Amino acid sequence: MPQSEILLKMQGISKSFGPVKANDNINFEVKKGEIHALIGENGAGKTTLMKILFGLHKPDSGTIYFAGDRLDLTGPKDAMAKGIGMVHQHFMLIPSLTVTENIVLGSEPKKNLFFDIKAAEEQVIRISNEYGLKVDPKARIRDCSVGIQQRVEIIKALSRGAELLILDEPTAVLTPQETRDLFVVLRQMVKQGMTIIFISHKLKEVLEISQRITVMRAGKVVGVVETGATSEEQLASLMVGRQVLLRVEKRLSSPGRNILEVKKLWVSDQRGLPAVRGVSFNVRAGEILGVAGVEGNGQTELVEAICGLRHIESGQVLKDGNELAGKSVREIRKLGVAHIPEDRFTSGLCGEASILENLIGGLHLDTPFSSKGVLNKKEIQEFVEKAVEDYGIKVGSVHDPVKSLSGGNAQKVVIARELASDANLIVAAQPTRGVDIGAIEFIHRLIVQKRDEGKGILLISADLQEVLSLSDRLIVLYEGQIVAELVTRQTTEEEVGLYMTGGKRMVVEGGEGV
Amino acid sequence: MKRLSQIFGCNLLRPMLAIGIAMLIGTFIILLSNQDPLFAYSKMFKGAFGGFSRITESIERSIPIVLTGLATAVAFRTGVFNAGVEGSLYLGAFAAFIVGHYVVAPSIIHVPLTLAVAALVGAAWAFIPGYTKAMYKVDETVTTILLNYVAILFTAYLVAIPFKDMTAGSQQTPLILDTAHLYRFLPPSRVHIGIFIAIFLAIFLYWLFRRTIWGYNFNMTGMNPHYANYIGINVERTMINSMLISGAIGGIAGAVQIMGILHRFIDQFSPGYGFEGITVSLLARNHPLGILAAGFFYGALQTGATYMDRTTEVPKELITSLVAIIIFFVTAEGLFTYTKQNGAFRKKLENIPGVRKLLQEGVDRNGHST
Ligand SMILES: Nc1ncnc2c1ncn2[C@@H]1O[C@H](COP(=O)(O)OP(=O)(O)OP(=O)(O)O)[C@@H](O)[C@H]1O
Ligand SMILES: [Mg+2]
Repeated sequence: MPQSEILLKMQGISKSFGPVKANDNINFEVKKGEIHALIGENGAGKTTLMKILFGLHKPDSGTIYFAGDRLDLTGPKDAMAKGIGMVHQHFMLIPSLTVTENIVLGSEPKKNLFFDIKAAEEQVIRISNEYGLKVDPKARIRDCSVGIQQRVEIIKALSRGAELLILDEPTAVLTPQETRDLFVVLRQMVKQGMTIIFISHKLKEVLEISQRITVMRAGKVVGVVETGATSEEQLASLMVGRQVLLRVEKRLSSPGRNILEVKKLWVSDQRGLPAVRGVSFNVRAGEILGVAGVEGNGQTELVEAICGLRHIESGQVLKDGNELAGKSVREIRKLGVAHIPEDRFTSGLCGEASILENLIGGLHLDTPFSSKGVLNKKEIQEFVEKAVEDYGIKVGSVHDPVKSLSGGNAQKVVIARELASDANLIVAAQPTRGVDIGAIEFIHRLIVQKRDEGKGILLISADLQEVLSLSDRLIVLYEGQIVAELVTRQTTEEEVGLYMTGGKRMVVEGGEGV
Repeated sequence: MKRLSQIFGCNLLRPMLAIGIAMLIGTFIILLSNQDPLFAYSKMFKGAFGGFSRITESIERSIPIVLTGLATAVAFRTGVFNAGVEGSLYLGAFAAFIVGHYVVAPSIIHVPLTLAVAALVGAAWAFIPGYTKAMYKVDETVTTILLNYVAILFTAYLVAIPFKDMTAGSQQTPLILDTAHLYRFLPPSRVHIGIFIAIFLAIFLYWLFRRTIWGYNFNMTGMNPHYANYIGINVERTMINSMLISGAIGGIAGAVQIMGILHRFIDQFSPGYGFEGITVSLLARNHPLGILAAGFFYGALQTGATYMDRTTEVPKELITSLVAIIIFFVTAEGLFTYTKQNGAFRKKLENIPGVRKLLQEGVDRNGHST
């Protein structure tokens, strides 16, 4: 492909938020027709740079040249008019509206002053066909999976005539299959002359899809490399500034008694259909039990049922011999269950509340953080300072809203809080989603450390590599049932993959033990 | 300035700007009636702040509004849209009459007892919509508004038949005993010690929201109920608790008006204090100390408008719309900033067609991702 022409040039861009220098004199170039990856640790300033390019932030200094012209953006509308589109890290769709309504919102086609729904739907179908982005124009967003919602966001950007499309961590929320589908679409788009900026923490993906890679660290660009001439290890050390362990180091586990026993568990999903169908397994002290599976095969419901967030239809869940069915979240937590939820901004955190308030959630109900209903300011302050220090959470002030943190730092807040209680069962759902490799290494080490302290860990992850490298034993969920129980060390990615997609199934009798 | 705005939970500059715009529009309205806007405004200002008797009248007018504002704020913080403070106010007021009229006790006991009973009655009344909301997800906006009618009409019946003061022509009860009066400490004005009850409650709520488990639970349930539930807060109980406090303060608001100003229960005595409380609470973005300031602003505005009506030729209807425009602008400003921060409130508003798009554009511009 002839792609030497420079489409975008950002020069000397700086942007500070109070004391935080999110972007520090950044030079960034993208060639026409390439997929350019932008990588860097959490809080490196990737999103900030892209928001500047999309007109959401005004840079403190620096200039942007796009297609030969100097850009002085007044806002996203302006950026879109100039041919720049962006799909945000967190989607901004309105759940109660349909796919079409969301796409045309703000630039509705009109016929004699009235909203022309026909024309709008035709437009959606046209773009959808052109790039192979399959969507149902009439479906409501709240009924769409995350993968579909993302397509809607992409179509929305394309419908505004984007030439340059920014995708901020598009794959963080996708299943491996959805990611593959997305890549097909991206390649198709590039063929039709589109240029793409792709942000991801998953180095494998970056190596697979991009032509060039810009690496950021602490607000600065620390390297621009040709994808063909680099490796995962090199990228990792560029990002972090030191050697990073891409593999988890851990000893063989020496499991003890059963901490969690799940027996013939049935749980229904939102619509009342059975999502977990007669599942039985145990988690023992001092071991990590991984749950592998393509997302949407009952993992979410399983976790919610154990943690008291979802009704148990039938079966038993025993924690240290105590029945959990029918107990409140509070009672279950008091029995020693910690829960790192899969979606940190829906339930794991209260975005508008401060970092401090988020760090003490749940803990605030007990001594030493409160007594007789009154919060203990001093204890809380000490705890929060220590947590921020121990977990290396990069904050300006602990009184800032937690939503101002980068993804990885927000996740550290959840983890710091959940691990602060002395629970002996840790249910960790997607603990490293959207988190950079440095933080992943940190979180993995922490999980292994908790295991070695004799706690039981139930690890749910859509990232096959993570499950395989972290867990001692694993079960595979397919359509709400356990289709395999494996000892991690004796299996391969291929084998697990086969079970995950329903291509193979083991006769698991009741699933008790291994 | 920064510090000040933190304490009061709102930036003072923007409301000021809103008032400015509203007054500009008001100028045209006054010109419409062939009056001199400068003269009219000066009368309004004089009516609100010109001298001891005017200022004390503004204060007197703002006491019940501050209280209903606080009552509203507790529920709003928890994401419960209690529009029923007016109902608690009426029942609390009537309870205050009963205790104030029939119980014989020295002042030191009589006053707190009367307030306590009014608070209980107000809380019990608010418990009904709180319970149905928490347990059965019955929309509280509808139930509280309907229950207002029940409370107002029920007290109207009580004052018309069983408790009517037979010597009076209008629908009112006999007087309460002197021992149940709230002391008027700035004679000849009617400013009474209810103002300290209002200030005390504002500080108490400020402390409650910041320093207690209940306050934490209220805030989190209001901002993100999923999160609250996930960390083990009993969301249903929290909603009910907040309605109980809200109703109790509503009841106190009614009692204070009876014990401090009217000294008897009068049918339809409230010009809509409960609803004015909603405005004031929104204006102060549910911040207790902000409500003190917003309540006084509101009281002064009303007093000034009444004075303007008495001393200028501007028709009463135009004055009413002038006040409405000022309040509209200031509240809209407060509402806009507030909804950007509060998820649950946003969702509620998003169900209103038209508002949705406005809000969405607000987010796009300030869109945030991690
Ligand atoms: N609106 C804001 N207000 C205050 N600080 C902010 C704001 N947006 C970003 N920051 C800070 O700027 C820094 C860069 O954040 P940014 O979101 O650009 O990181 P990122 O590279 O996208 O990280 P991630 O991979 O976690 O998404 C962080 O320290 C973050 O806390
Ligand atoms: Mg980011």
